[in-house]
This record gives sequence, structure tokens and C-alpha cells, in this order.
Amino acid sequence: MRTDTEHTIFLKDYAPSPYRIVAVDLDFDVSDKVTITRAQLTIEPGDDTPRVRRWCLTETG
Amino acid sequence: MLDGDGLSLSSIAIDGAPLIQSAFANDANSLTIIEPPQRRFVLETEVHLTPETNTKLMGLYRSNGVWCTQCEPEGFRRITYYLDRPDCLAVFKVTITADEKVAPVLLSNGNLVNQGDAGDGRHFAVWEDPHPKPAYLFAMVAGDLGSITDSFTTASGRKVDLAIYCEHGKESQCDWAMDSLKRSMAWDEKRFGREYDLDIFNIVAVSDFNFGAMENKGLNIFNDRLVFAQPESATDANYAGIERVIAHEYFHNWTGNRITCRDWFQLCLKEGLTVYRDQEFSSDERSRPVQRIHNVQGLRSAQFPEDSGPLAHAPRPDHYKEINNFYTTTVYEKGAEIVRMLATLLGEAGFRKGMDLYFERHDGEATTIEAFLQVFADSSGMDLDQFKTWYLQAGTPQVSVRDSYDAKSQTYSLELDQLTASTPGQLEKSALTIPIRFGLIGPNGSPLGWTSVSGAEVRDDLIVLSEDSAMLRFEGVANRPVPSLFREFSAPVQVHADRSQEDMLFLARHDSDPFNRWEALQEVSSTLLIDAVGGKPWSAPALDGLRSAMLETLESRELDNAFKALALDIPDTSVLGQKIGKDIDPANISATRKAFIAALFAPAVETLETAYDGLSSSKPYAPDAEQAGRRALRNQLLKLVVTASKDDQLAVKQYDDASNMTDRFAALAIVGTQWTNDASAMLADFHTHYAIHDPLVLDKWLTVSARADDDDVIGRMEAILADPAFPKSNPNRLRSLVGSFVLANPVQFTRVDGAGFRFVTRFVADVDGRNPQVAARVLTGFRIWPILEPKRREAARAALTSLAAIGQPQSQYCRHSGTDACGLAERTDECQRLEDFFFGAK
Repeated sequence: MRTDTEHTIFLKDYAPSPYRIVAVDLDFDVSDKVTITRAQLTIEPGDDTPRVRRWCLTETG
Repeated sequence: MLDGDGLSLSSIAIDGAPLIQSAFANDANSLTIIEPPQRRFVLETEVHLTPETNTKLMGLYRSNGVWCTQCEPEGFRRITYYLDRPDCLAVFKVTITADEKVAPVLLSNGNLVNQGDAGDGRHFAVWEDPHPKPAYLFAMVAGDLGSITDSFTTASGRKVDLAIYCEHGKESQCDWAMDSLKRSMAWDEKRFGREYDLDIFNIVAVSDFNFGAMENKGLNIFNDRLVFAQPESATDANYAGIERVIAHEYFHNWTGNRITCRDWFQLCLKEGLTVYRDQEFSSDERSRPVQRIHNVQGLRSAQFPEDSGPLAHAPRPDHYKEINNFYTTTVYEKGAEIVRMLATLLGEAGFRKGMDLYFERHDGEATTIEAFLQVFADSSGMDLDQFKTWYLQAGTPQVSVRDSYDAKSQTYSLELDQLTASTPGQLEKSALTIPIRFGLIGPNGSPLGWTSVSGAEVRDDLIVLSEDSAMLRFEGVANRPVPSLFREFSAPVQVHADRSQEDMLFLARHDSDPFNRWEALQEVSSTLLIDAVGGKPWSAPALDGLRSAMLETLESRELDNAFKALALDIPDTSVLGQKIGKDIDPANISATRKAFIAALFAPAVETLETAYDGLSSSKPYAPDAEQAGRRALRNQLLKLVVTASKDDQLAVKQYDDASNMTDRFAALAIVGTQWTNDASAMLADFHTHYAIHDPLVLDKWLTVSARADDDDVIGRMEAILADPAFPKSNPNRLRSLVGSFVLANPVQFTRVDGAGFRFVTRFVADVDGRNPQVAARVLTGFRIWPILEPKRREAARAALTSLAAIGQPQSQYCRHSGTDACGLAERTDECQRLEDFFFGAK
């Protein structure tokens, strides 16, 4: 449990991320001493997609 | 900016081109691309992890040689830099390469699409999950594991391969979990029309796990105590627990995975709804009234105190500092109660219609409580604006009841008031929509009807209280009724009604609602006990009346055995302490309770023994509801006989003769917790013959050892912890010993000399660096402090002060138990008062 969070997160401050990750390609090279993680993240700029609009319409809090 | 947690970046590139240093900024906890492309691009990163040293068991870690992950809520950022938030939904492809001998099993989410030889004794597996998911649902496992396999054919005829992976040699202990999984899959199709959506469903049991289980898409990871079961080592309660948690995690596939949370404020959306679903599953598989009583007992013992203390928070909070502090009984259990009230208000068909629309409208989305409620409003036409307050408001509502009957006009009046007290940071409260299932019972025990009713919304057997107060007038009521209110515990409230023992025992005999029959017996026992603790001894006629009602319950032909077992139970010391509510002395309560049981049942010992003998069976063990109910009642009778007769020989005989762990452990628990003459020898025998061979049986031995009502218990626990062979890094072992002491041995934990408090704080100081989550959970036992009598409160403060003095910069208690405003934004007056009490005003 991390307990050193300095700032407070408020529900009212929720905003969709300006970028979104649409696909993840992870490669784990596992061994006794170290595990190497290679990540390929397919990222694209966020836009006001229908899904996000729906969230906003239904979110009244 | 991407999230990280303790990561070390080895390389970074965009679309295959390495980034120069000035193009990004990173540290262990974040990675920022200075000018990211305004188009689709591929970011490649490489980090090096050392799972072997990850003792926090969050992210990628190694348990008993097996690499495994735990990512909820923010563990994925300990694996790679990522937008680690639940509304970031992506499809995952995962390749795992490892030494074939060390890790012949390579698993991740989704379907296996490729595997093969990687050279140099290594092999690889590629998994693809076609369903977009948030990172907290990611999982991977690599290790040398055994397995059992099976299959399930969905309602639409699709075959799903099922497997449970575990430590070699434990495969035969996974059969019940597999059976539970298949029943869960069938139940979700029948009850909610939900089919499984991948070709494979895997479960992995690991020994080092901080939680119960995790619903990673297609690859659930479980604490092994919630998978392994065999009659020789598991009790009926273990079997029921496995069934419930297997179902819970499976049900998340739709309520949590296919439809997930937009942000962590919405945690209740997936957890409250899924707890409700697992409760309904258990009710359909077992005795519905018994399941309801168990659920309510849990709610009252854990959530009600949380809701009335400094940690009170809304099921859907509006701010936090640390989301880990919000995996609470309020989010889970109260969240389930809210869904249950919604189902009560809408009726079974109306609730199902709304759920169907929820799945149709929001499948594949990360959504909110508001969206959830909107589907029910749309599908039913009901205005749920006021009902939403349940999600936004902390505190347990208090409902006061007064009634009167006018024989001349045949009018029955029922006055209801609701009030929710202020909670930290939320001083003003609104009236809630409270569904009250009810019935009026006539003098002969039959339901009484009425010709008309006014004063509030009444639909059949349901009153909907939506104002601060209501005066209901039932016309045409032929006789004075005894009201049965909040049947099935239809709302998570505390009810205050000044009802006579005579009326309560009438309900215990005649109410058609089993929950209220149980509640009535509990109320009568509690009232007599609390009066006695307060210096007003019980009367012989009062005991005679209660005994008579209990024995009638025992002899009833219509009630099932599991229910009878609960009906014969006497409220425990903790429950009584909470009801008393202030200046409690648990030692006095416990002693009074023992004397009460002896006085109540001593005249009936022969009857209890006869009933006990009549419940013996030579049938081979099965964990089904019928057999489990019979054992539950038989073991309840054993407990009453031993307590009332102050003779443990019947328990000793049962321990020696038992053919299954349920009966053996029941006898051990009775003798061990009451610390009778045979306790020490029986515990030693149990350790030698059973516990030493099986870690999960060792947990049972640790639990009973910690619950002993004996002044030497602390010395014995210290010796256990000091034994070099004791696995001090395993959460299950630690919780079984110290967690059981804190939560289930109130007399010794709250000793007036402070020895119990000091033992716990010494343990916390030792374990905190290795596993702060175990430390945090153990420290929550100190939440009892506000209701203790002054000397015990001082002892608690002294112990916690010493903990703070050995190196913690802030109040360790507040930090761990979440009372540092429970992650809330401001330090509330309540939190400040708590800290001032322990550490002195600043």
C-alpha cells in the first residue's frame, strides 16, 4: 500500500485522457535474476468519441 | 504522461526510432513524452524488474517460485510505464519467454495463439485477449504448476476449456473449486443471461497473495486458501467460502470486466453489484435465509462500525488520497445492499429488465454509478434521483418505529422516522428511499390483512419510506397486530422499536420470514445480556420464555438445520459491545455471556444432547447444503452443551471420532477458545497430526491458538512468531494468528494491562517493512477504541504511542488504518480527534 500520495484526487476533476492506448504488445523475458519487460503501446490522440460523450452526459456528479 | 512505480527505464523509442534524452523526461514514477505526435504512434519501452525482491506482492512478484501478478488498483505501473487508469481500455497481446524447466506453464489473459521453443532450454507462449480492458485486469503467470482440466458448454453451444493450476500434488484439492466454477457459469446464464466470452478460463492458486482473489480477464489468480479443499483439511465453511469467491470472481467477467469502472471512485459499481450477485448465487445454491443472516452479520459487525466512526465514507466517495484505503466494507457490502434495495423496489422482473439494458447499453465501456442507475430509471420509468443518495451519503440510517392499535375503529397506526447522523466531512444528511418489507401478524400467528392504507407508498408487502417521517394508517385491521418489519433485512439500517419480549418471542415462533424469526431471538438475548452487563440481572421467567422459544425452533419440522444453528446462537462479545456502544469492558461482557448461556441452557442439556446424538450420521462426507446444515446444527449444540455443562468431554470425544475437518475443527475451536482443561493437549495433537502437514490446516491451528480466552495466549503467540520455522512472509499465516487475535479475541486483545495492544503494535513494527498491507489490516482492530472503557482506551493509546516512537514520522495508526482522513482530502474533526487522543493535541 502506497501511503505517500501527496495530492488529493477529486471526482469532479475527472477528464478523459488526452491520449488513449488502443493496443498493447507486451514481451516478458523471465529469468531468475531479472525480468525484462518490453512494451509496445499503440497510442493515439483522444477525441470526443461517442463513448466519452455518453460518459459526460450521464455524469452528473 | 505515463504512470510508473519504482521503474527503471532501459530504452525508449517511437515508431522504431530511439528518443534522444531531451525528447522525454522520466523517473521511477512517471514517463513524459515532451512533444508526443498528434497522430497514432507506437511507443516502445524496456524496463528491468526484480520480482524476487517484490515483497509488497503488487505488480510482478514471485510466490513460492511462481512468477505472478496483481495489478488492481495500480499495480500495472510497477510492470511498465502506462496510462494506469481504468478508463484506458486496450487489447493486449502478451509474449512470455522463460526457462522450460523452471516455468513450463506460461499464462496470460485471453486465448493462447502460439507457443514453441525459444532455444537454449527456453520456450515461449503468446496470448491475445480480444476484449479491450483496463490494465488492472492484466495478469501473467509463469511457473512449474500442476493442473486439473474440464470444460463447460455455454447455452449457445460453445465449448470453453477450463483449468485450475496449482502447486504440484495439490491437484486433487481443486475439484470443488472446478465444480463451483461450472455451477457459477451455468447460474449466470440462467439468472442474468450472461455467457462466458473466451475459449479458455484459467484459475491459478498461489500461496502468497494479499487478497482473496483477483478477476483478471480469463486468468483469475486466487489465494490458495480459496481454492484447495478436501474433507480431511477443509471445513464446510471453507467449502462455502470457495464456492462464493470462485463465483464472485467469475461474475466479474460481466460486472467489472466487460463493463468496468470509469475511475476508481466508481469502485462500488463493480464490487457492490458483484457481491450482490455472489450473494444471490449462494442463496440459490444453499439456504436463502441462512445466507441472508450471514450477510447481515458481516454487515453489522464490520460495515456499521465503519459507517459510524471516523472512517465513514460514501459508497461512491467524491475524493481520495489513496485508493487502496477504499477497498472497504462500505464499498463492497453496503454497495451490495444498495443493489439489493434496487432489486426490492423494482421487483425481480423489473431488476432483470434493467440489468439486461445495462449489459446492452454499456458493454465494452468504462462507466459510472449514474449510468448504472439511469438504465433502471429508463427501463422502469421510476425516478431514482433520491435513491442515488445511498451512493453519495455516508452513515447508517436510524429508523425509529412506534405503533398503536385502535380496536374500536380497527385502525393500526405505524409511525416511522429516519435519521442519519453526521459523518466526518458530511454534516448535512438527506432523507433516503428506504424499502421496508413487512407483514402484520394476528394473535393466532396468521397474517392480518387491511382494507386501506395511507401515509406512505405501500405496495403489497412493501412500504417505501422516502420522507424524514411517515404516519401510516392501516384501516380494517381486525385485531391488534404484531408488526414484522424489515423482513429479509430489506434495508441496511438500524431499527429502534420499543417492543416487548412477549412480542419478540411471538415473532420468533410465528413470523413467516425466517430472518425476522432469527432477529427476534437475537434481540431477546441481547436485551437480557445488555441489561445484565449494566447491572440488571435476568429473571427466571425471561430465561424460561427464551429457552422455550429456542427449543421450539430446534424441534420445528419446517425450518432447516442450518437456520436452526443460527437461531440457537447467542450474540458474541463483539456484537454485544457494539450494541452497548460506549465504555465497554469486553472481559465483563464475555463473563456475563458465559453465565447467561449456562443459566439459559443448563436445564436443557439433556434435550440438547439428545438432539446432538440424533444428528450424527455415517454417510460419507459431502459439502452439500443438507449435510453442512446438519453438521452446523450439531456443532452448535455441542458448543451449548460444553458451555452450559462446563464439561468438555463431549467435545473431546467428537474430536477423537471425527471423520472430517468440519467436526474435528468445531470441537477444537470450542475447547481451544474456551480454554478448557483439555485445550492444551488437543491443540498439541492437532498440530502434530494435522497442521504440520498442510499450511491451510496450520492456519486453523493458528486461529484457535490466537482465540484462546486465556491469560497466557500472548506468550504462546510470541513463541509461535519467534519460531524460526514460522513463515513470517506469508500473509495467510500472519492473518490467521494475529488477525484472529485482534478480531476474534476481544477479551485478551483489550486487556486492561495493555499486553494485547502492545503485542499487536510490536508485530506491526516488525511486519510493516515486509508487508504493509498485513500491518494495515491488523491495525484496523484498534478501531474498537472509541467504545472501550477509559482504562482500556488509555492502554490502547500507550501501545500506539510506543509504535509511533520507534521511528514512524507520523501516526502509524492513522497512516495504516486509513484514519489519516481515510485518504479523504481534509483532516476532519473526527480524524483530528482520533489522532489527538492517541498522540496528544499538537
